[in-house]
Amino acid sequence: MAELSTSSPKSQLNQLGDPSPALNTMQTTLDKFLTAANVEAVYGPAMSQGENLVIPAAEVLSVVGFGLGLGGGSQSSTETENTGGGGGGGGGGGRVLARPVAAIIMSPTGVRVEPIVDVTKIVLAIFTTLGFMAAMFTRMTKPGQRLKLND
Amino acid sequence: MLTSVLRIQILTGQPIKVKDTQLRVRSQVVQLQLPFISGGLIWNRPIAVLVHTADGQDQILPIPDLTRTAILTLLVLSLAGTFLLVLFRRKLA
Repeated sequence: MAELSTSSPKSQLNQLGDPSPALNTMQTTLDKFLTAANVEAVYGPAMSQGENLVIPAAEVLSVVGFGLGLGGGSQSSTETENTGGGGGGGGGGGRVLARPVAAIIMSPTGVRVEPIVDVTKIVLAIFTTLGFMAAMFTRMTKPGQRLKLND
Repeated sequence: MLTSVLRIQILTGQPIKVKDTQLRVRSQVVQLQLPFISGGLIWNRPIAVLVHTADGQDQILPIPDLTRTAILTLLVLSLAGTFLLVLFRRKLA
C-alpha cells in the first residue's frame, strides 16, 4: 500500500494549480452582476415621439450562482518522490428576467404613467386558478373523500 | 448578519429636464446574497416618478404594476375560495 505524502498542504495545493484565476473570474462576474442594482436597469432611455417624451419602465430580476471545487490525491513510492495529481473545476449560471411595467409619458399637457398589462400572463394565471379550484372541488366531492369527512 | 444577506434600497436617478419640467425616476432594489453561496439575486422594480414643475410644484406619480396586482388578487381569491369550499363541506358533513 502506498504511503501518504508527507508534503505540506500548501505544496499540495500548488500541485493542483493556482485557483486564483477562477476566483478572479468569479469575482469579476459577481461585481458585474452587482452593478445591475441601479436605476438604469429599470428605466430605459427617454425617447421622443412628436411632442411627447416616453420613458419605458420594467421590472428586472437577475439571479446568478457559482461553484468551485478543487481536489487531489497523492501516491508516492518513497518519501521524497510524490507522483500525486489533482484537479479542479467550477461552473456557474444565471438568468435575467425582465417584464415591462409602465411607460412614463411626458406630453405638453403634463406627465402621466401608463401601466402596461401582460394579458397573456393574467390569462394563464386565471386558467391555473380555475384548474386548481376544479381539482380541489373534484377531490372533495369524491365518495371516498366524503366518507372520510363524515368520520 | 441579516442586513448583509438581504438589502432593500430605494434609488433615485439623475434628473431629466424637458423644457420647464424636471423628472426624477425612483426604483426599489432588493438584493439577496446567501452566506456560503457565491451568487445571489437582484430584483429591481420601478416605484415612482418625481415631477418638479416650473411653478415649484412637486408631484409624486406612483407606478402601478397591474399585472402583479391582478395575479396576486387571483391567488388570494383562489385560496379564499378553496378555504370556503372546505369550510362549507365540513359544515354539510
